[in-house]
Amino acid sequence: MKHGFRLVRLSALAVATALLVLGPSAPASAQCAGPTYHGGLPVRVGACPEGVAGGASGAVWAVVVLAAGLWIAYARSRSRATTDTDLELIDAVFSEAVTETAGDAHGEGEEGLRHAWP
Amino acid sequence: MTLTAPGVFPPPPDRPPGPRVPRHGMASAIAVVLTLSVAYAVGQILYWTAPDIVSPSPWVKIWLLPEPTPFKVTRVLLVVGWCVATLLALALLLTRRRATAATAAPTGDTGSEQAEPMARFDATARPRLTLRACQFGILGALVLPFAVMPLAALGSNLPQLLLCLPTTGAALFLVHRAQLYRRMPGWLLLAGFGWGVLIGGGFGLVMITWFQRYGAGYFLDFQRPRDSIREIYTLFCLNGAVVAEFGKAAGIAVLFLLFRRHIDGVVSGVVVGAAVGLGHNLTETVHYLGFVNPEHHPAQFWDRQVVGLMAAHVAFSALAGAGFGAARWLPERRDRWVAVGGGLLAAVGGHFETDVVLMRLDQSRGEWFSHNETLSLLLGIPLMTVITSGVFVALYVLILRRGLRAQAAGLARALHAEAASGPSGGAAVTGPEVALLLSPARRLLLEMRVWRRDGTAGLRHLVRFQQAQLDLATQRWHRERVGADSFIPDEQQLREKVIDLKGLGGTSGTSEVPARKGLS
Repeated sequence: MKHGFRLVRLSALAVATALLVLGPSAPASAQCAGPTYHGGLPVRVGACPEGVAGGASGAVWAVVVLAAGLWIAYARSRSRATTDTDLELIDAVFSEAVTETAGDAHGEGEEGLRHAWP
Repeated sequence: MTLTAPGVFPPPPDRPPGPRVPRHGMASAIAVVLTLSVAYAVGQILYWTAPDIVSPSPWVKIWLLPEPTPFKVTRVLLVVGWCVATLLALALLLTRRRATAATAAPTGDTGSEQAEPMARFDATARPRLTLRACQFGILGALVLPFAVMPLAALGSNLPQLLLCLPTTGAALFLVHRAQLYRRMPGWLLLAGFGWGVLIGGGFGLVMITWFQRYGAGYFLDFQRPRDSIREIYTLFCLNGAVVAEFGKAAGIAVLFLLFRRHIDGVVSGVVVGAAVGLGHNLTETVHYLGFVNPEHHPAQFWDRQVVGLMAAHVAFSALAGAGFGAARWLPERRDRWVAVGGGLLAAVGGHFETDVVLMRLDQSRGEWFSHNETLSLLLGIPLMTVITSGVFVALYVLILRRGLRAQAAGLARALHAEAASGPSGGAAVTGPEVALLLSPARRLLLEMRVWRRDGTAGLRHLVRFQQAQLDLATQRWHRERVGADSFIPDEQQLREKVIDLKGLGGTSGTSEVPARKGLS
């Protein structure tokens, strides 16, 4: 009796460790445990609200994309004058090159960067 | 605004540059990948010498499962790779010996005096190409076998891979854009990511499989089962942390040693490390998703591609990368080892701590939220991630921030000096451009304006042009450093590249930085 109890206990421990170390060979039911980064799946089992997880993942990424879009829109509207100045500056930089390379016959390179890229 | 004013950052005093510190790249890179093979061989020896598991329990069979097929293929290919690497090493030695003899021997009296240097050039150029091919061949033969297990995992779980690619791609783009000033080339970032996916991930999987096969033989003791199980739990986490971080750090080291010209500080170190970590995280996520039923994928996705995406693997390897980046400018070898070792120790320690503490916290997570599974998932997982790897995320963000500030200060000095350095310098960077180049937000908004007006070609040209200007200034700044090494490219070539991109380079002749410089 004592020997049988010991055998059961050892078997349970061995299975628990093997589940951790080897990972389950059949579809696992350990999905709602926390993440692990050691190469094996966790021993603890439990059902997960999968719909909530999927919805939350989609919502987080949607918020990230929305926030980035809103920031860009806000920055564009707020610093329109600065961007205009920068665009003129970069056009002037490339206009100088166009003027030198294309000569007078091509409109003095007024369009700047547009003429610079191949 | 006043930060970028010319008066705030006066040009540095004229002082003669110190002697460049010579460093070796390829030999060290081969040594790094050799250590991966040595680690694999140690795993093999430990497996061969592991005691047999003897127990009255029939459950012990679970430890004796057959080897996974990709693991078997890896074992064969690694031996093949070692043979190929040995042959290539012999070819390399022979080529080097012949090249030495050819340069030392007289060219004979058949040619004129002018033809002699050309003959010597021919005699050395071809062996140099052969040497390079042999060196890269050795690298490939030693690391490519590790790609088998990740390729098998990714190939057999294609829908899961497609599910994870957009999120990982977005994170990689964010990492790339975190380089607010000079950016490393996109191909280098992708190389880091690819290493994380295939080699880092593969080395981790192979070494974890070894531990699964020999760990129980050494540590499972049926006389004291509870203690021995605890030992295996702990050692499994430790083994996972060491091999995963070692595999990722090897990739950072190889890229650092081969392309040191582009990895020039903690910013690029953190970025390349994060890219490697993202790749590893992708492989691990797909590998895990392959284990579980498809209806359970959303929870795994939430854990690994949303909450933990920029934590855990990314954080640990970003810290390892910061160590390599910091080592670039340290003239003393001991200091370099301390910087690299510190980063690696932080990565391994963080990984181990995260695994052990996560398992512990997870036991009581349900109680924190009164067993409400929704709250436990939505709040519990992020809370546990903050507790375990939050400090490492904070560390790499702080290092990145500090590195960016140092870059801004160094670039401001160098750009003002470049703009003021006479007609040739003024053509590459003009005074009004300096403030624009030093403002990442202004450059981003300008890029969007140019994209709307001139399309993708115009945007690409603008980005290439401004990156060339920033590269010119960055290398000028590095040239002033005490630990300036021999991998800093020639200033005039960088300047000519800018002038070419500006469209003024009709007479400059050379617009590309030579491949030799790019390699280092």
